[in-house]
Amino acid sequence: MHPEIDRYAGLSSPIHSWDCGLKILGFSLLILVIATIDGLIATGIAFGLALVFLWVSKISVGFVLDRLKWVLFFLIPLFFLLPLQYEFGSGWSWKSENLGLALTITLRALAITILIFPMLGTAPFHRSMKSLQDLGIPKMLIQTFLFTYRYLFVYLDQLRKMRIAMKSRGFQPGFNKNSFKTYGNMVGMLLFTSFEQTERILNSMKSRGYDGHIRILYEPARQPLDWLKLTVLIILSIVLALGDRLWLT
Amino acid sequence: MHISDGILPAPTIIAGFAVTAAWIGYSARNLEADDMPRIGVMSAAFFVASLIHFKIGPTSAHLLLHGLVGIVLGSQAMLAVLMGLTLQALLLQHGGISTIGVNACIMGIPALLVGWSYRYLGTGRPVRIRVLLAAGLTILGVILSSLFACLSLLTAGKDFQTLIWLFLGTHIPIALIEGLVTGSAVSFLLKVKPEMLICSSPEISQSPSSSASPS
Repeated sequence: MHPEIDRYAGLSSPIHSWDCGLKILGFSLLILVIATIDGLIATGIAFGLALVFLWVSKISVGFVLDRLKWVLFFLIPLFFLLPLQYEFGSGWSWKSENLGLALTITLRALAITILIFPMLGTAPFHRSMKSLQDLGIPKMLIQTFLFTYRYLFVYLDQLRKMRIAMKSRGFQPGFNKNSFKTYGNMVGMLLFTSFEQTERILNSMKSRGYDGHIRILYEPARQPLDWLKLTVLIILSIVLALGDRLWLT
Repeated sequence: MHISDGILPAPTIIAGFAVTAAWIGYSARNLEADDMPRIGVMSAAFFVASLIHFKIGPTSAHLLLHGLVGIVLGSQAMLAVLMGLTLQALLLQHGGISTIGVNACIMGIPALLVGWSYRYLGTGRPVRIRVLLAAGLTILGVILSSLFACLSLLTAGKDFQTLIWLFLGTHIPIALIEGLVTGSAVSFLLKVKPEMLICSSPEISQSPSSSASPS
């Protein structure tokens, strides 16, 4: 399993052609605004907006739906857990009005999660990181993030191989001390082998001139249309924030 | 141990980002270029831990490993937790993007405390004691993370009380499992590469072939 986010970065759409830095800025603002709105109507509109952006970006809906399963796994129980309330003295009760709260939370979470795909799924990962670097995010953070992203796939491959090796030796995972000790040894082995490998990777990168700065061969200049797209997102964010507080409550 | 998007109020979200940014800014002063691969390895391990599932009765849970991150990285644990959580949110949609700051505090502060306590209590102790320390501190770390998560849920309103009780209840077995797994991993690393941990084994550091040194 390789959970790369930029699988659809090669498509062509108005969001793909948008300057990467301005795109991240615009969508980050919209995500922040959506995280702070409270009303069900405004949240519903935000969810609709997220779907529109996903449609415009041409990213496969099936791909996004597959990624949303984790979010739904945590959110669906809220429709049961939020209305179910316990009061000391009177015991358990069912508050149907909290179903609205659960729906608001679910729509808000889905809207934010869906917006990640147009924001980061429409450009190669290294280009998004370069944009973050240009936006002033400390170089040290970007480097660590890139290292983590790089090692992730090494780990996932090692984990897959170790699982096969454990299975072929008859390991049956269960809820017992031996199973958890085996998991502990597996984690230790993963760290041990990767640690040695990463030292070699860093040395080979340094010997090829790596200095922690991301460089990209072709960087198109920002066009007026890029700024126009950012303006649209800023206006949408302001209207959503004001609408939630003034008109849609 | 993640709080999803959409649940927490704006002041909690902002406070989470502020605390995380302040700590990262502070700890980054001592960060050197050669530390980054080490942090990257632990961030990736933290990420991968969320894919190692085990069954608890009718449901399943996954490893957290933030205690181990603290024991390996010490003061830089928060950065590794932040990186791991960000990638989990972006690649797996696990956790939340607006709650990265809060989640980094929930997991990162206990990781720091586990790391510091392990260093303070474990330096110069026999291997067996250090393995027990790693397991015990990790159990406390998971319980502390659950309490932090419940505190942040409380800021969302009293309607979350059922969720809070359920959250606390399910994390007690997870804490025990996490302690056992981290204890085994630390025991393994003390045997094969003790210099990976923030305080090295006295028996091994006496060996001329080892580069371990008490820190």
